[in-house]
Amino acid sequence: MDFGDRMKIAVVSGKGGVGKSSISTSLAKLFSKDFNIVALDCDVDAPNFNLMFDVKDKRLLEIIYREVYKINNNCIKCGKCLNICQFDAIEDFEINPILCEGCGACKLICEFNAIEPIKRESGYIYEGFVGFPLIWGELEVGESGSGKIIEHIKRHAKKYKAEVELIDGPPGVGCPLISTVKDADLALCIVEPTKSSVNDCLRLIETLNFFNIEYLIVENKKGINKINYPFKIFHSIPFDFDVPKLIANKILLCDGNIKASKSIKELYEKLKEFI
Amino acid sequence: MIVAVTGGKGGTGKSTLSSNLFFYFIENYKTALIDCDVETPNLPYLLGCEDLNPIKDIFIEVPNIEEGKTYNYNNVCKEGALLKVKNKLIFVEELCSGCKACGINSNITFKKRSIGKIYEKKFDNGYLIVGKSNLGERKTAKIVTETKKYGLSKHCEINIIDTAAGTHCNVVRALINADKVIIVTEPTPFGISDAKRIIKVVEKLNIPYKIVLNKYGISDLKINYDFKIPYDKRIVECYCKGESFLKYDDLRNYMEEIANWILGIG
Repeated sequence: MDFGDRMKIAVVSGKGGVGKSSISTSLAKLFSKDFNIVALDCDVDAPNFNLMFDVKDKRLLEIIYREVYKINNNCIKCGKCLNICQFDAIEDFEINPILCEGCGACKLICEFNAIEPIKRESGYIYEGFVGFPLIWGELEVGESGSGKIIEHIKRHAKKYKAEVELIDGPPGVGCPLISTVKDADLALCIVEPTKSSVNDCLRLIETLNFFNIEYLIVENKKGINKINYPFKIFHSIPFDFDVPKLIANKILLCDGNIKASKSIKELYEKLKEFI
Repeated sequence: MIVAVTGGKGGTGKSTLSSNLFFYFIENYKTALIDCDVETPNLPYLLGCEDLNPIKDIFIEVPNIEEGKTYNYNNVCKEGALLKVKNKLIFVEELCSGCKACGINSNITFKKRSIGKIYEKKFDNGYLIVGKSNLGERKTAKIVTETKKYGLSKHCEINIIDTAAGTHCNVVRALINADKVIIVTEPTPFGISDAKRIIKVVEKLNIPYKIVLNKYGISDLKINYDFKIPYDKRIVECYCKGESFLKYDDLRNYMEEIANWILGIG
């Protein structure tokens, strides 16, 4: 079964640590009260969404492999592979599997059949129930290929009949971010009032424009600093020193009784209207 | 001495720590601060200097496919960037990683494509070196490697490398060949979980490391650490202004402890 048609909302930020997961976990819970939802954690480097819930029926859905290469005994040390590798992965006629991108150029150029492919586990995809289905990926530490893991998370999510797909995204503006947002209906960009965050958000917006993705910007930690935003803010969540205390006790922002809790519920109501 | 500052989770204080270490070290040592968070480099803001000099572009080589020309090519591209369909080549440049596999045993030639830039700011006793990717670029690993190489070519006594968040290959590329690593985390379930992941990476690379618990005091969560930095409004203020917090003696002491470990004294 493939239930592909749903509203896909990705929570993203450019800069890390501005509150993506705190906000996305609460939004997921609030959405789940009014809609059929499935939540996806595409921050496969730091999958944190599940940490806020007591996950029931956790199971491994899939192991993701990637192909890398190794040099075998046929090697006569001609050096052609060293010269062709564009990723500095070969040193002293050994291929560092962490740096190997698996392009296969070394195997193609080798005339002595001295390079062979090997498979490495590069990531895992899990599923669990947290009041709604949650699918998350985990990159094996130090591996590359987060884009592929994200593609597979999304493929698994299609088996659920859902009206809303809520995605917790990765930081940055490169491969994992692009894989996360490229088919999203809406990107919710989280920003905090610091120059770093505004700068990263601008880079994020340019990337979203590049792929033609609609976005709204939500300010988090309002009040820690005065700043003039070069973009329109859809909603502001005030800085609240009690947020980390809630998170530390695994209490969702929306379930707390603090200023930020009220604000996130308002954000949800506005979003509901928007969609 | 090469010391890399990393953290797993974003926003734990990597750049705050590395910029203040930079201010601390340039008092006595020739120091380079190298921003390898190439997708979202922020150190210029933390150092209060936004007037950096562009040094050079970073290029990859991509196939130069000309209309009407015949190529011998056997669909070797693993990224799906170059496809032969009915004797016609289709090239999707955005997907090309610049591996050059398509040129092997083929008449395909290459052209240079810029994927990012290196910037620099000179200080009296050191340098800020920043790598920055072009927007829309997926594969940014080479920018990390080249930025680091350029920074280290300055031959400073101390080189501080600021990595991106996460545990992916860009972070590994920034950490590789470091003499010591500082892992910055925070007392939240996210910080703890992500720190565990980055510790695994650093242990795989076999580099000595210490854990700095930043924002100490924001929760009661128990976490193992070697050094701490308390949550302090003055730090947030300095961060926002792009200033060092070393002017506050109590905060400077925290930095001194960490710096002494890096220097191997005390």
